[in-house]
Amino acid sequence: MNCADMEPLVLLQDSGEISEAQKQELVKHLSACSACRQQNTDLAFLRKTLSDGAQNLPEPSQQILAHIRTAAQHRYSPKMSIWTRPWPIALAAAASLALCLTSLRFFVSSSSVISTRSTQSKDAIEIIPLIAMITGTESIQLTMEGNETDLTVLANELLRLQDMTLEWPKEKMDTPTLPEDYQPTTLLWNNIRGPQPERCG
Amino acid sequence: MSSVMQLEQDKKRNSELEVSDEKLISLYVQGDIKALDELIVRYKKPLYSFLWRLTESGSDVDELFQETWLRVIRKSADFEQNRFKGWIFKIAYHLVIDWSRTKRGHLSLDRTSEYADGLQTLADTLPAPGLGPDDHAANGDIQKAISQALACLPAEQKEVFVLRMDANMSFKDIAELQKISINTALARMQYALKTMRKLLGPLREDSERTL
Repeated sequence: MNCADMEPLVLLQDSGEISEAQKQELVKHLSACSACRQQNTDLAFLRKTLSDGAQNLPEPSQQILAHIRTAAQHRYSPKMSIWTRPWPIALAAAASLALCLTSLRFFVSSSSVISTRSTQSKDAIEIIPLIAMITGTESIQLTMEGNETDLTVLANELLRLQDMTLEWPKEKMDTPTLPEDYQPTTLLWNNIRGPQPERCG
Repeated sequence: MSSVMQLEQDKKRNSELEVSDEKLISLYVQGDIKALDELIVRYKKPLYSFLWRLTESGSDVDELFQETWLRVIRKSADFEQNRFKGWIFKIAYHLVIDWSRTKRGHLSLDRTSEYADGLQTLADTLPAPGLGPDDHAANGDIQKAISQALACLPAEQKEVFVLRMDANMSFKDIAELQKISINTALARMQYALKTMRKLLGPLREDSERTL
């Protein structure tokens, strides 16, 4: 075998994917070929250079790390009441909610049940979980006229809040599934994470 | 016992005591938030470097980094693979691919359509810019040299190079990720190494001179 045949073996050796037979062949070749030995050394040099260079790369900001941690907590930890959050955040959320409610056709039918007849399902998706969080509502009765996709997204948004229950028109859908590309809405996440919402405030 | 041997034994013991990534993600799914925190600490640097080298775009890197973790969080309950490391870098890689589709579109040296397998590009037809020792002496910045060299690689080669060297992925995983054969992945890596050796060679000469 010539040097060209050995080059891939040097790489496979480096990645730990080399077979025993290939390894023996490579060892034999390296003992007699300084050019291929040099390739091996070059690989180690490049790895070290990349590693050294990475020390000079910037790191993710503390704010981003905090956002990720908040999302992580939100996903698997029990619901944190809005009243246990810092007051400025609670007040900001409540104020923005009040503003939103004046422009959307939602209403709170009782202290424990939220209903909406809004056809603005996109807005409903954003605002209902927020209302529920702020009021501590445990159950949401959905009377919204919306299409199944919107209902699915809403249902999942609520399920993300873990300890909420959702009543939705059973004839419309069975078990909701989260769309692959679904992202938490900006308004909802802004309120959960802290900064005041820009859209409604 | 020599101090070197002691150090080796300590290292081995520590790695045995260290909780695996896979265990951490499973603990997180069971509600242990600190387990995910530990994963973030472990992967903060390598993941960010990986994204940075593939995109070279500061503000987008932040977004991609955050989105990678949000997807990990969202899909954590479905994690069934053998290795967390391969999984998180795959998520990041797919995000970079989506990102690059929206960013590319201009004629670049990455263009490989005229050549088979992305092994040869327009860059190959031009004289290598090289990075003279003076360049390094002037800026003294290894990372800058690496960035310049990586920028000369065709996208497909750069991806294989970064996936292998930064993310430490196997060629089998890289081939699977790029939907190519292992031989093509190896060939792309060989071409990438050839270019990187040529462009970063002066850096090596610098370091050898200082020794």
